[in-house]
Parts: sequence; C-alpha cells; structure tokens
Amino acid sequence: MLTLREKYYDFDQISSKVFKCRRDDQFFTMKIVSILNEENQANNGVPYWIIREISILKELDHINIVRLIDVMTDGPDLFLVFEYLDNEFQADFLKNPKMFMYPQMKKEFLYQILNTVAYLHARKILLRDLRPENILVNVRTQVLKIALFGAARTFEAPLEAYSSSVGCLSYRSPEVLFQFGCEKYSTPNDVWAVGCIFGEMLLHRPLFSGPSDVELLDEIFTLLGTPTEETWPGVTSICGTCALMGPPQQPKDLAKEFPMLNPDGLDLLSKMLCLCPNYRISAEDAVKHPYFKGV
Amino acid sequence: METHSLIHPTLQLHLLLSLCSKFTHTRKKMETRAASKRKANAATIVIVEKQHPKRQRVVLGELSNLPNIIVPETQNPRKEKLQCRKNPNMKKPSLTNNTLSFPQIDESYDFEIFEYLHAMERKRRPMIDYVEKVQKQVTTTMRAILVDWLVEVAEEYKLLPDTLHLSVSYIDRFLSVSPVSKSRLQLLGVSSMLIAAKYEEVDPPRVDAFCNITDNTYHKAEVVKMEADILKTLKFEMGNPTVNTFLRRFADVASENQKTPNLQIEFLIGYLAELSLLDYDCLIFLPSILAASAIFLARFIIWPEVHPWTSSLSECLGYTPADLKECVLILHDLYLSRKAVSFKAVREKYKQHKFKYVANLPSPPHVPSYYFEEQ
Repeated sequence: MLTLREKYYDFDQISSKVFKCRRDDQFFTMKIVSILNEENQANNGVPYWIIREISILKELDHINIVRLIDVMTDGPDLFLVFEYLDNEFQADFLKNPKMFMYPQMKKEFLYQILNTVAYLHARKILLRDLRPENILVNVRTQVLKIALFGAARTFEAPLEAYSSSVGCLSYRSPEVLFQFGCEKYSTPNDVWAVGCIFGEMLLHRPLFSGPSDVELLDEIFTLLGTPTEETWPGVTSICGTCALMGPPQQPKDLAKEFPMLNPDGLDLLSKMLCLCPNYRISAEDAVKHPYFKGV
Repeated sequence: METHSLIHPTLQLHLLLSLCSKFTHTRKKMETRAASKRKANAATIVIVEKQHPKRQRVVLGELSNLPNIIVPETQNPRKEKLQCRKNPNMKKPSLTNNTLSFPQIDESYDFEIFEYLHAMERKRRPMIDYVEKVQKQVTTTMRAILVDWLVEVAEEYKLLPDTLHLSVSYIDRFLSVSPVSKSRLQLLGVSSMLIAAKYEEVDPPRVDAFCNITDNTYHKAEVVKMEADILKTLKFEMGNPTVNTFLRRFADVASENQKTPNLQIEFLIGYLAELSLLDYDCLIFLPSILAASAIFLARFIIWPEVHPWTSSLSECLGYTPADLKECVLILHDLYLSRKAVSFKAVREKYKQHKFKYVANLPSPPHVPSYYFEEQ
C-alpha cells in the first residue's frame, strides 16, 4: 500500500491544517485531522465523530457536495483528501459582492442548495449546520459546493448530539431553540436553515441575528408571529407559558418585507419558514416548487 | 444441515464436544461479567452438570485450540441467493411508532431512503464464501463462537441491537478481504464492536472496557491498532444497512391485522434476526431478505394457522413468499435448534422475561409448503 508521500506530492500549505497537493495531473485539498487531541488523551482510538463523519462523506457523490476522495492514516493523524476547488470558488458565498447582481443567480443557487439537501435527506443524512460559511460558489460557472465535513450526521446516529447547541445560532429552527427534546431534530431543521439563507440572499443581511436563544426567538416571532395551537399543534403543551414565547405577536406581511419576491417566491419562503416543523415544506417538495420553473 | 466437512457430521459434533470438555477446567478468559455472575449464582447447577456431562459451549478463549476440522466443499460452490427484486409498484414503507422506530425520519423520504438502503446493502456486503476462499485458519464454527460471545458482550454492556448487527457485519466484511489467524479473531471481534459502538451508541464503552471483557488478553494498543486496520480495510465505509435497519422500518407492518401485542412479535423477529447472525450460511441472503424472512417466520410461529404473508407485506417489503422460502427454512432450523445447536447466548438472552420469553415459544416442526406458493 502506498504511503502518503508516495501517493501525493507538491504539498502547498493553505492554512495550519489544510494543504493543496497533487497526484498525477490532478490537484487535491488535504485536511489533517488529529486523532490524539486534548479530549482523547487516553487514546480511545479514532474519535466517534470522525468515524461517523467520514462514513457519511464516503457515501456521497453529488456535484454540489465537496467530495471526499481518499482517507489516509499516518501515526496519530488522519489525512482527508478532498476534491480541489480552484480560487474561483469563494467560501462564505453571501459575502461575494457579485452574488447580488443577478436575481436569476440567486434562484439558481437556492435551487442547488435545496437539491443537495433533498439528496442528503434521501440518504438519511441531516446537515444540522448549514450556513453560508460552509457554502462555496463559483460565480462564473454558477456552481455551488457545500462543504460537509464537521457538520453532517445520519438520522440514526445516537441522539445525544441532537442538542440545541448544534448549528450557527442565526440559522437554528424554532423547535431547536425551544429545546423540544433531541428526538425532534430532523429534516425540517435543515429546511429552516435554507429558508434563512434564502432571506439573507434577498436582504443582503442575516434574516435573524439575535445573540441569544430568547432574542432570536423574539426576532422570529416578530416576523412570523407567535405560534398558537392552530399554527403549531402541541406547542403550548411543550412550552406552556415559558418565557421563550414572549408576548403574542401577529405575523408581518412577507410581501412588504420582501418586495423583490414574486408570489411564487413568497409562497416558497413562507413554506420554508413555517414555524411548525411538521407543516414545513420538505426539501424534495421545495425543489419542485413553481418558483423554480425555468431553472 | 449442509456441512462443509469431510468428517461425518455426528463425528464432527463429538469432536467439538470433546474439545469443549477438554478445556472445561482451563481458565475461561472470555467470560463476561454477567456470565461470571450467573455462574456464581448457579454453583449447585454446575456441580450437577459435572456429574451429568452435557454439551458445553466452547468459550472464546479456546478458539485458537480448535483444529481446522471444517474443510471447504469444493464441488458445490455457494451461490448468492435471492437478490432483491426491483418492484416498481412497491408502496412507501410504513414508518413505525414503536420502540424500533426513529422519530427523526421525515416520512416524505421513506421511499427514497428505502431504495437507497437496497442499493447500499448490495454495495457493502461480505463475500458469501470467504471462509473457503480467503481464510486459512478461521472456520465457520469459530465465526459462530465469536458471534455467540459478542451477543453476551452486547448484553453485558447493554448495547443496541444495531451495534451487534453492525459488529458482525464489519467482521464478515473484514474477513472477506483479509486473512486472520485464530489467535486474533477475538481481537477482530472486540475492535469491530468498538467501532460499531462508536457509530451507534450515545455513550459507547471505552477501549478499556473491551480489553477487560477479554480478561486483558489484548492490550489497549492492540485493540486501537486493530480498530485502525478495520477502518482502513473497510475504507471507513461503516454505514452499511443490516437486518436490523430493515426491521426497524417494518416493525408495524409485521403485526398488522393481529390483536397480539406488538412487543411479542417484535422481540421474536429480533430473536430470529440475531439467530441468523450465528449462521455463516445466512451470508448468502441480503439483509432485507433476512428481515422479511424473520417477519414471515415470526408471524408463522405466533399464528401458525394464518397465512404469514399478506399483499401489503409483499408491497412494503418487495418480496413474495417464494422469494423467502430458502431463508425462512434456514431460520426455522435455527429456531428449532436443528442448526447452531451448541451456541446458547442468543437463546438464553431471549428466554428472559424482558424479551417476553420468545425463545420458548412453540413452533410447528415444518412450515407448510403452500405458504410459499404465489397467492
């Protein structure tokens, strides 16, 4: 079996743990993951999250997902070899000024995100931490790539990690913020995150940005209204009169908040940002929404 | 029972049993703490057993002392059986609300996930004849001894059924590509279970626990090294579907149209699935076929007068009774101890109250052939 240095060469450091390297005429991105980190001093072998993450990545083959090509070991380190994305792929895609030049481009990118999320959900995989920083785009070719490492997990993986601490605060769904219980973390949470990204693409700023759970929920309810038993069955029995609910608020008119959206776009956005996870549109259905006609 | 041996089956059994008794007084390194407790609580029974020798289970410590008495039967190569038929009319599988179900699954993806699992079960399956083609020292009997012991380990550490099934799957996949010596087979077993526990459990046992359970036959460094070897050999592809993956999706359908409590049939299906782990012959069947066959047989055992299969089961699982016949008959032989008779851990486990004593349920000696005919 070839060693790391025999298989890959021309190493070029990108950051402390990331290298650009070559094999034959192809470039790759190599990420170093240390197995013996602080929490694993007792040498309990390969950390559970690495086993789960790599297993997930090995199952995926999709144009919009940064592909894991190879896994190599060398002492206490794992070397993850990913497809190389050239300089035209910009991380944190919403910070790219060209992103907002063409409305059609936003629609194209939203479609690619939803298509990828639907692909993952059909393979029992939850994203959990979908946010602009994990999305890279090539504006010229209009191809988008989601970097999954460190974010995804399977539906059937243990429940302990389905905590309210997952994901960037701004993109967390109300049910996670409510701490509904770990078993409730599911596919609708990813759709909520895509809805937040959609809103951010349109407004050029985060849709919700509260610094804490309570303030974030208040922002959500200010825009979408406070949930009731009609709009979210079971919400009162779980939350009761908890402080997180705040004073009752009426939903705002999304057409006024998002004047740049046509009726189809407003319909899709409202379905993705539906407060009740059971009523929220699935990624699979969102991809088929009339808003994407012609994409 | 099909045997891959040039020795007469009865003689083979006597040989095995004499080997077992030969090591009765040796230190049984591989016992679990639970087994030790049981032994302490049943000291008088042990004395009685010494007066009236019965078949004894080969403890795992004696694996390396077993001769290679099972010889491949070259004239009759094993054929892969019953590939899952693509059923274009297959309904969305019903998701369950019982103890096997996972509430995180969005029902709108049921069909896609089911299709995906079917593709994955083919892609990540072991060789069906690795003992004959790859292994020099490991025999089918040794494999069964190892699996039987892992059932006890899983019980001792209260591990999920998924963890046990995945462990055995990793063992079979590893043995399909890499020869292992007798002395390291148990190391492969504990390291596989370590990986499976990390993949499945909320709070997986640490490496130390897996060393302890072997009475420190292996050092921590050896277990960790073997873990890395398994991960590398299996290319970190640890998410393969098992029988349990499919059972979890069909637990509700299994007891349809019946008034018996769900739990009994659920435990019986789980028992049959675990019995299948013992039998190397079951490798010829896809996990989805084993799952469907376990459901068929469990329904037959509980309601022998009623046809075990229904149109909705056919639509949901994608198999007809004819597809399942061979697998059902093997599972039935296992259930009636006509196969793998000397392996007791699974049987003892399901004789407990917490599993509704399903291992004690009576079963007719034969499944009527007309149950396998097209309806």
